[in-house]
Amino acid sequence: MGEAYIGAGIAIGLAALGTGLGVGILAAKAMDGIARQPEAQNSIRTSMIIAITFIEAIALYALVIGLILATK
Amino acid sequence: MNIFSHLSDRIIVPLKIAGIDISITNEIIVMWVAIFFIILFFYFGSKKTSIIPNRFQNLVEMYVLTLWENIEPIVQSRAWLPFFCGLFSLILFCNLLGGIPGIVPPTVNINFTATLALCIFLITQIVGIKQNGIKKYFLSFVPLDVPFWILIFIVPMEILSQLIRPFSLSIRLFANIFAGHAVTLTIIGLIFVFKSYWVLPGSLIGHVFISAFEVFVAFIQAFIFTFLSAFYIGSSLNLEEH
Repeated sequence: MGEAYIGAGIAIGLAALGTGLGVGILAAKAMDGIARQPEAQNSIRTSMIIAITFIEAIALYALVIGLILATK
Repeated sequence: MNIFSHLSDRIIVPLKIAGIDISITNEIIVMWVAIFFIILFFYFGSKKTSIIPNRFQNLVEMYVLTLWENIEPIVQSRAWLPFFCGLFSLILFCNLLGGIPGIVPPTVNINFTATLALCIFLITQIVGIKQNGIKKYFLSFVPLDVPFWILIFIVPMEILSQLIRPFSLSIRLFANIFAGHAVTLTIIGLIFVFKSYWVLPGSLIGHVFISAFEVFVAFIQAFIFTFLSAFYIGSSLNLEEH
């Protein structure tokens, strides 16, 4: 039973690592885009938020797996 | 006691028809309340329409037009507006009702989101077949200008991507709303973990910020669900020539 908790911790940790990297890269590129073209700020922001929710969802899949493991 | 028991459904009216359990749970009642609010919202928004709209009519017009501006380029048919508007409203109002303390929104239950995603999947297939004919629709899974040995990999991939869509669609909505509520419960639960009143201000402030973020997430996730279903339905409606 203890292994399941370790597995859940590792799963959510690795997912958070990947998601953090992904959101970081995405936000950095969006900032670059806004700095280069400040007039496109609104559309860049909207598409950035939509893309961020897609990336976040991957971490949440890991959260679901972790919950399944931890509450088994 | 397990903290997630606050997010589970409780049977209020036990009901069983022909061996199928259709008991009315607290989440079903929240969904009915959400539908009631949607009806009120649109009824009073469109009761007395005028050229110079009052504030409420302005709100409803903005709500519908903003949604439609994003979806129209994908489905290219105005007949789909009521469907997507209803889908968006249902998810949004359910999510927003979850912000009231003690109320469990139906979207934290995977059965609700899975049902919606399954409906979207079926609509995608049926509409695609109806619009393009059964032969053209299934031939769209087969790209023309590639060698035969690549087709062995590509065609199963295309079919698999169709089948995986409802899973990702339902888990995305469910996990986002569930995670938000789990975080709020955990932050409140810190008071009981430390058994001290001094944690209370920190917990309360944290709760306020997380709740504000949850309102944002409620809008975004409702929009993402509607946008993706529009994308799936639109791509099977207007097949691209391969």
